[in-house]
Amino acid sequence: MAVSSSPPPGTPLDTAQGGQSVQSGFESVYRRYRSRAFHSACALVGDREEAMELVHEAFLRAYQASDRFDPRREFYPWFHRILRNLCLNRLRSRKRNPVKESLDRREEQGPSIPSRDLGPLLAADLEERGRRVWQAIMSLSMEDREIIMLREFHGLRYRAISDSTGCPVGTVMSRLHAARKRLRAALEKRGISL
Amino acid sequence: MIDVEPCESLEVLLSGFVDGELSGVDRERVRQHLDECHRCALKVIAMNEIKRETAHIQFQDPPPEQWNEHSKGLFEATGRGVAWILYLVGGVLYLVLVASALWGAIVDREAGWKLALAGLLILAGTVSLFVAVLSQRLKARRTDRYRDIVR
Repeated sequence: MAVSSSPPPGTPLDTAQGGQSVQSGFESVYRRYRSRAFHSACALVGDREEAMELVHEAFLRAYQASDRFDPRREFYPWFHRILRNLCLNRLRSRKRNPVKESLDRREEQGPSIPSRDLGPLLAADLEERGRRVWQAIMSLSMEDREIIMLREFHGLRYRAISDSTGCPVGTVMSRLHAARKRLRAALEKRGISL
Repeated sequence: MIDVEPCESLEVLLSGFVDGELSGVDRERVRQHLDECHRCALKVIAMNEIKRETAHIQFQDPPPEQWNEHSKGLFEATGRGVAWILYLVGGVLYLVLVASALWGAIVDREAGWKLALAGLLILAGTVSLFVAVLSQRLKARRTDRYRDIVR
């Protein structure tokens, strides 16, 4: 799995030189985590432009709340809770039909899948397959998408996912298991058998 | 013959097993079960296949110029924090001065009734807005599709 320019999962907050606070290291924190945040927001709201806005707002709020952040903890799970709440608020405020139209929007506006230097036929196959996998993911509920994103794409450990979502570790495991079952069904519906 | 644990008691542990998140004891329980249970072994294979499928997806970041615009806006916004504090302090002071001036004017009967009327209109508007927003929020809460999602 390749998620461009993201630090290894579980990396503690970079507090810059000499143990400075989040404010002074804010720019480096922003640059380290913005891609991961953007990808998460895309998965949650299914719209790249809205994802950019939400990431902007989430970093702003993280900056404003930075005095409440414990630098001994991992940054991303704490930040993800802020981002998650903003995404939930955005989903709630959408005036259009939240089931059908958002599903169409989600499936259309996934991540751009870049072409690869693998020869035209294989690249096209992989790209098409990747699109179908992404469409299957985006057909899931928000909770399922979120936990699949955190585990399969961001590689977070269960403890970190628990911190990100506010669920106990045991619940993370059972939700992930259920999400994987539903994802498998969605993949098979799209012609990808496992 | 080894007693095989029922699949139902171990199914939820399969994900933990695939992700390397189980304790030694649970890992061994699952491993022994998989040695005997073909159905659960297939589930584990399917979960590993999902990992391989998702590994093919490579996210493409927004172009650098979009990130530059994004970060510029963000750092400008964080710099506005001090400005907001000054604005709020100034606003509170202003309201206190206006309130004391209003009080002085109300005591002076000639101008008092006009000021009292203006104050009543402002109060009525504020209460109306509050009621409108509250009823909208209550309605949204009743029809909220995501109310069961834990924050």
